[in-house]
Amino acid sequence: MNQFLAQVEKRAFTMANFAVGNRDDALDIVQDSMLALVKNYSGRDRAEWRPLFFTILNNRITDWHRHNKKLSRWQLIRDKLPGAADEDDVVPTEWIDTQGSTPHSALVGERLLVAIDGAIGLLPLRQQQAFMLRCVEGFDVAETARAMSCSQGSVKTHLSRAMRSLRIHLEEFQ
Amino acid sequence: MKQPNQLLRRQDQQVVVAVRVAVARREDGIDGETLSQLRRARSAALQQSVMPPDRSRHSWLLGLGGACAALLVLLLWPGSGDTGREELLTVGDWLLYEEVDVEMIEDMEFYQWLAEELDGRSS
Repeated sequence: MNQFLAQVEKRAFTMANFAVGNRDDALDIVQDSMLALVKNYSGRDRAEWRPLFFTILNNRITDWHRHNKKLSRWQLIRDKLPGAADEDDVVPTEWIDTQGSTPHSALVGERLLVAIDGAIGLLPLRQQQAFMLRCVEGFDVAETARAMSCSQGSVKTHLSRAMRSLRIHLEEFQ
Repeated sequence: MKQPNQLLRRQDQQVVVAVRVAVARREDGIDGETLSQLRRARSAALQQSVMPPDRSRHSWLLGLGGACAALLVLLLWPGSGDTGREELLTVGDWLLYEEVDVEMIEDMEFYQWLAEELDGRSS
């Protein structure tokens, strides 16, 4: 189990960080997922750990988004109240800043990677999850559907939309 | 000349490759502090697996099982259960199941009292 977790921890952190855009929350999500896997499934066959782990991870990420959506709704109401401070507004500009800070002398390939990196972070959650599981983690459509608790048709739709968005980013550099 | 579908497939492959490279770069760029925290998280998770299972979570189940067993023993114990009801029936069944003339009983009681009174006086 130790070896398995060591193999997936960086990938898990990267996926969580893409999805939540916050290092500390991403770490919490990975830790929760590890705990849940060890607690509930350490007795299972080793071949089952990977799909189980990424299913848990995606569920935790989805829970985080649900919780934060509630918070952001409250934030929206609060901001509309008279006298609400503008400096409380949090706009996720991390990706834009990263892209903007690239020096003009940098290679196109380097800029493209930065742009793609940013584009992944900007994908809607379900599209991002489908793309990461299917195209980066290498799950097949059925495994991706199980990990995302949705139908295979939904996975294909999310994938298609994600691919179209990312393709547009790529075309800008060609 | 390439067909539109072929072009699309080629572009999709480029997207996948670009994303994989970007993800790999991100993983390589994870700072030491984060890596250390990930290691600690892993150790904490594994530590949990060597700890004994929490008994308190199942204690209510044990209690419930015990109560059910006790109830079962009471119900199946020889002499318990229906016996009490049978005794009640034997005591008062004639009252419940037979048509009894209450006036006749009262008369009988009166005559018995009268006989006792007479016996008392004669003795």
